[in-house]
Amino acid sequence: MMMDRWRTRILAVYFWLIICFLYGPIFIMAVLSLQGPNGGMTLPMYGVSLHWWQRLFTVRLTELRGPLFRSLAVAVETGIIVAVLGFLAGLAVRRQVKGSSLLTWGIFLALMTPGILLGLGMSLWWRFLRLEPGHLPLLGVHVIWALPFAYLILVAVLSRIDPRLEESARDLGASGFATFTEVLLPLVWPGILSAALFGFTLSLNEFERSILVTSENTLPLQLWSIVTVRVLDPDVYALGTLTVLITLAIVFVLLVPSIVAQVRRFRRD
Amino acid sequence: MCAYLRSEQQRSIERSPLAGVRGIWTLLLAIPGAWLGWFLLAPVVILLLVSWLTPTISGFVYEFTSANYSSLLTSGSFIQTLLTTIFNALLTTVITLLIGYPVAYYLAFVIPTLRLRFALFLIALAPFFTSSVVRAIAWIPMMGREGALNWILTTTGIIDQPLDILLFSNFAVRIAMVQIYLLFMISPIFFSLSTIDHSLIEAARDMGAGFTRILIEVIFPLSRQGVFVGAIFVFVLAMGDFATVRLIGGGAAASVGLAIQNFMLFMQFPLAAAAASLLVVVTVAGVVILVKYGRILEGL
Repeated sequence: MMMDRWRTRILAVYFWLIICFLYGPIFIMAVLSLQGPNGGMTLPMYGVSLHWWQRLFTVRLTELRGPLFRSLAVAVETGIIVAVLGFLAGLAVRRQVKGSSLLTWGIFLALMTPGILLGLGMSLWWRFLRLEPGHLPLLGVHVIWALPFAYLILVAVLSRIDPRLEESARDLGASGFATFTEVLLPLVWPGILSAALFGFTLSLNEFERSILVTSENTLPLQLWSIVTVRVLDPDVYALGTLTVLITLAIVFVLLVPSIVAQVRRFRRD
Repeated sequence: MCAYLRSEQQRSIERSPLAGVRGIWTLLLAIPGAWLGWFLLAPVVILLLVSWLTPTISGFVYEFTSANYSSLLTSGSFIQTLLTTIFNALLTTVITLLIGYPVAYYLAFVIPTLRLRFALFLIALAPFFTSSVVRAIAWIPMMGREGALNWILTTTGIIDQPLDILLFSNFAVRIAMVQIYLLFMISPIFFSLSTIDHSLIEAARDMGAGFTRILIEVIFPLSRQGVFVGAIFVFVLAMGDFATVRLIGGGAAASVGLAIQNFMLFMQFPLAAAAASLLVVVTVAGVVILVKYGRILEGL
């Protein structure tokens, strides 16, 4: 029994050390973004100020506005498309339509393809088709990246819905279309929303797949070109911290509650 | 009885709405299938194709050649890069497994309530959603002679002199890669540990097995699939990595992903495609081995 208690304590300390390891660099980046005006890219701090944050929202804003709006546009579209495609794929798999196992393999392949490879392939494919690089191939690879996650969420949600509900609706005289819109859709709706949110967040932060595909920078690509081309200032840390904060806010305020709500509902049923 | 129920359920799914319209379900399947075909399969096929085409100054012409592969495979520096990439990916996989397993174990077996378990898991998982560029940038102030790691180590008096090894080296890249990919190991192991029936462990304990014996003979074998799924994730991601290598490694570290990006900067498409194809071959070989030894497909 004593041994058990010690083991538990050691594991608890270990767990929090790993959490420090996972968040430590991000935390230090956030601290360094508050560097004084004369401070550099590393510790120690030369005073504490909002100098670099202010610079981010004044001097840097002009070059960031375009990438930010492009990122938001692609993320919204990715969210909607993966939710729809994931829902269709989930329905087909639920009914075990012929070919649905092939689709599952395709989605598994999408998850397993390294980002740089997909980006390179897409860039060559577009060149092969003699099309201008632009918005569509970018959207294409973002959907490929987010689709497996949306698909897993929707398959899980759909498998929990008792098909007898739909059957009773039919027995009571509802048309196929009415059963779909008035029985199935309201039940799946929160799952579709979670899938869309998942896709939105993943797309907003996507980098490896995008870099070779588009000539117009999204926000992560803009960050990349700042850190690889320029002499660095701590305003890069401010920008990095800002994207982390926004992402964590979306995850903990929107995504997690939407998934928790569904888990609750299933347990109640 | 159970089989009967399942088939009954399946039958009623088939009788559910729009059941009369046979073709519509195939159509539903075709839409996501078409997207996968156009934006995943076609690019990969073209990639493999272009790797066999003759390069020109800023593109390629449709004449088949094996020159791209022979120039890569006879170049000592590319072979070196490929081997370094494989070694780093394997090392990252093994270290994330060793570090990540106790974390997943702690979450799945030590945390008593489901709610707390879920909350802690989410805290560990959340960095997954942030951009990999940002996570690599966050390592910039940690590394280097004046970096935070050296600063912490010297201020606390653990070492006297700053470590040079933390400056633009393969070592620094490996530390950062372990941190960035650790989540992909923890999550699948956590999921597979969560499905273990606790009565099995109690049965083993009742029969007199100690902690270590239960761990080795009950828990490890039952979490095998999670371990191998995690290993596949980390291996594939680490093989394709270039952001961490570029930002943390400076000029001192190399990876095939970075080489591909450099070829693309100089418009050498066939060389980039050939390097990528070699990456595919090695990655697929690694995944096949892991799937086989992990017996991952058995449970599906």
